[in-house]
Amino acid sequence: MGQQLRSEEMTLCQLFLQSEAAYACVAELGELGLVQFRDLNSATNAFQRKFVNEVRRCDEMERKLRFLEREVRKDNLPIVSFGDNPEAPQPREMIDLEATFEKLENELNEVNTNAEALKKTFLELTELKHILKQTQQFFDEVGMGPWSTSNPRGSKKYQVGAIHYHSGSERAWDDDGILQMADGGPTHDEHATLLGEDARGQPQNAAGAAALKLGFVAGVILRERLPSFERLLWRVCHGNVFLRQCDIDVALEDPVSGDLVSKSVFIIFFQGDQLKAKVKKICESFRATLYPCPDTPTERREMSVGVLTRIEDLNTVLRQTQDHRHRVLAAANKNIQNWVVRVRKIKAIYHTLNLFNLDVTQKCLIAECWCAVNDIDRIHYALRRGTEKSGSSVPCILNRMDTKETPPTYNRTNKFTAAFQTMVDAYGVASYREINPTPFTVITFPFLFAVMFGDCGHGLIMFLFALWMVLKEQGIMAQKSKDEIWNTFFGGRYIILLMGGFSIYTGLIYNDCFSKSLNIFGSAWSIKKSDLSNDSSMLLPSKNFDGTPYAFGVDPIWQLATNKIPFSNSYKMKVSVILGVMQMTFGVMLSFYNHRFFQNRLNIICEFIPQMIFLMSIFGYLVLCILGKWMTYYENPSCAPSLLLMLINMVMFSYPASDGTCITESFYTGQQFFQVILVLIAMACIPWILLAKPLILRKLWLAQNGQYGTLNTVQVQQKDETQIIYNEDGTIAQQPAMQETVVNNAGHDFGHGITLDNFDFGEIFINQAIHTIEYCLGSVSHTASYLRLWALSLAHAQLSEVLWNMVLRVGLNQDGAMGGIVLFLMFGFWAGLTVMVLLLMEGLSAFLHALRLHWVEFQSKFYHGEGYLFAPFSFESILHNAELEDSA
Amino acid sequence: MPICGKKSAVMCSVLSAWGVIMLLLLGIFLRMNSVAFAEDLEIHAKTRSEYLIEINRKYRAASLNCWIAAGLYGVTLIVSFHQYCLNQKARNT
Repeated sequence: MGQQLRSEEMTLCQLFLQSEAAYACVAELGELGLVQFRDLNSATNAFQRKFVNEVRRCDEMERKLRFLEREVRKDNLPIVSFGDNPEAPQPREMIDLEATFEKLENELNEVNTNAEALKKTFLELTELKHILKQTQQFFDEVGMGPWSTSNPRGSKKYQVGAIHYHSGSERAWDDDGILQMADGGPTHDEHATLLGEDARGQPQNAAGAAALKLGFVAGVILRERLPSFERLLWRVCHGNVFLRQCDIDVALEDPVSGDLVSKSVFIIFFQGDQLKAKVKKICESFRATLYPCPDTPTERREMSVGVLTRIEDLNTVLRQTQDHRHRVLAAANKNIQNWVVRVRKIKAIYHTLNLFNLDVTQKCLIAECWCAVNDIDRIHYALRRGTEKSGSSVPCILNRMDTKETPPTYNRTNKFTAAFQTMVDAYGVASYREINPTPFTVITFPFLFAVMFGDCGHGLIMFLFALWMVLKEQGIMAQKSKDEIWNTFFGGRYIILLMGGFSIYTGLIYNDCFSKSLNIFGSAWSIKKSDLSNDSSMLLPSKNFDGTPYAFGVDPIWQLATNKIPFSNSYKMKVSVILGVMQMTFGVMLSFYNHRFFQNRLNIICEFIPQMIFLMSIFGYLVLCILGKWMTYYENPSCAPSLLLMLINMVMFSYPASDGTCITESFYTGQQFFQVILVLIAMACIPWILLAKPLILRKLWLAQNGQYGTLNTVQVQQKDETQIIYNEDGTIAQQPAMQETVVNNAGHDFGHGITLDNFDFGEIFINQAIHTIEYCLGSVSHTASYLRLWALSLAHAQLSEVLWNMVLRVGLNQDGAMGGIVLFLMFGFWAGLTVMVLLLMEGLSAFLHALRLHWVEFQSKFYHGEGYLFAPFSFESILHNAELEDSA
Repeated sequence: MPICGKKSAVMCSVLSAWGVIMLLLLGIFLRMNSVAFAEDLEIHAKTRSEYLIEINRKYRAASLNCWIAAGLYGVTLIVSFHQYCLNQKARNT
């Protein structure tokens, strides 16, 4: 318990590591995860450190591993993770690892380049195949019929219809003798050959043949580029070229990116070299690939046969390459996770070694670290193991050091308290050795939540859900879900479990189960048959109450009462105030333990005692009055004293004169006198808190200054008398001056622990004034703030009742055969809304309010939260963080 | 054939189990003429004897409805659990 109440006692240690043993020792400490190293070279940048080369090599290895992983993923191999934790390898193994990775990377690179080259050839051949096929088809069509109709694109805007072949021997070019555009397609067509030299046995005019010497290029272009390509060709060549295109119906694989792209085959006819150059340029600029296409059909046929055989061969080779790559990756895949862990460990070790100082003799490394006093033996043992492993004969030395710095806060947690500790740390990490609210939060948090979430049905569902998470813990953790919301729920499973359990309890107290009451023990109220005829009658305790109250919680008869809400309001409101005052008083009491632990007698006398008196004399008194009122029976309810008015009158010293009516009567005899005394005491406490501490400090400072003259610093001590450090030259004055830090001046004990360091009366006084106002006003507003317990619980009860009445009642009220089915549907609807609105939304709001009550109302009474977290060097957390980064 | 995925099968099973348990209990309480449900069943009658008969009739009908609905949830429980098993099998193979 003592360990959970306060953070671990920490100490700063100096560590002398033999250079040859340093690596092994740090590895051992990393596995242990109990020391936090300090950076001793903070002045030097990352590149000036000793082991920068090793870190770089690790980076390089990590890069290679990432590359491997990416390749593995590309091949759709599942990444196997055995979850094993290999030890950090020896430094000499690093070379082996590097060699392995180098080899693998080279091999993969080679395979990849080969595969790429092969794929490129394959692509070219396929494209060529398509070109040959299409051109062949095209030439065939031309040979057989009018090509306007065979044009796959249908009518073209600039259909070249103008290679007019006039029938007979008179064929000639029209007008200017070049290709001409017309809309209607060829005017005449007598199975003319397109190309002059195409040996079709057609007799030709010699002059015409020269003019008809049409050249053509064939190629492949990306389909989406085709329209602009076409347009540009038309514009640049003034319509003097003829373009035929045809889509390739299979998508081709891009060898570089591996994406599938769709392409089109095109063939362009033109006349003359100038046009040819232009066309080629345009093709180039559109990244179209041109392929040599033979002119004669026989050559084309031969070529396409050749291409087909080459494609066959290539396919075989490609398959073999793929198989080889797959084998290499599968072999690597088995080890990747293991390698990743090992490399990360090496890197972490060298990073840590970079934090160390080098001894003048270069023989040993000096490290400084924070560690818990209780762990020193384990650290010694780990160091000895490290030394043995490295084969060094000289042991490592661990020295405790004295320091003026505030050590980090280290709260040991287990899986149960970890979530609660996180919740407390989210507000602020406890100052070193301050009381840690977590052990109390474990119970008070779920309890306050349940006060707001009081419904045993909802509580049961929540409890069962959390119970499932807790029981299946191992399995769920192994799944490593990346869903953030789910991980939040799962991380807080123990909190939810307790919240559910406490909700069942408060639900039974409120007697609410899905807004219905359970009559387990039999109601203590009864109605005589003669009174039944009255539609609504008041039950009087004297007549209808059988004397023994309902055994546990609220009597179920209240569910049917018309004044249920006024009753439950008054009850829940009072309960909230009582719980609130209890928790705040507890918080103030904890501040006493803090002051006592830090031997701060001044704070006990000037803060704790007046604060306690102030709280008790007003709000403690209120709680007593509430309990008193509960125990008193008022025959006439209007005669019951109003406690709120009483409290207001008490502070305002107004006491109405008794005029004979019961309402002006005092609650008890001597009420006025007692209340006046209480208010006066409470008022006296305000200047006590405000003035006492600054004035006493000032007096002490004056007395001390007179005696010591130039001594301006009297510093820290933590119960241990040997650690007092006097500093004459004022260097420590730069350390943050802590008001609460204790000085136990061995030679001159004032008996109050105080720091008189750079004493500034104005500052201290203003600080104290803020503190006083905050406390006195706070105790009023915080008490009011606890009324949220009532408000939220009222809202929850009302909402669940409304849901039942609006939805499930419809189902219950059905007559006839359809009733069951309607109820079936309505229940599903009701259950869905119950989970979404009442459990999730209301649960979240109750959670947040409970969190606020703890952070603000409870912790403000004693908690400073000015510490910083102990972040030990541990492989576990480093690997965990790296994994998180990977998945992000 | 799995109709729904693993998560929806689990959700339906849980909802069905909840429905079966809660509706069975509701049916029993209604059969016992539990006063807690008096406001849920709108009972209208003129005379006292009529009132008593009406109460009994309403409660009986409601409890029967509850059991029918519980039975329907039993069916959905079986179906969704079967779906869950199919999903598990599909995942394992």
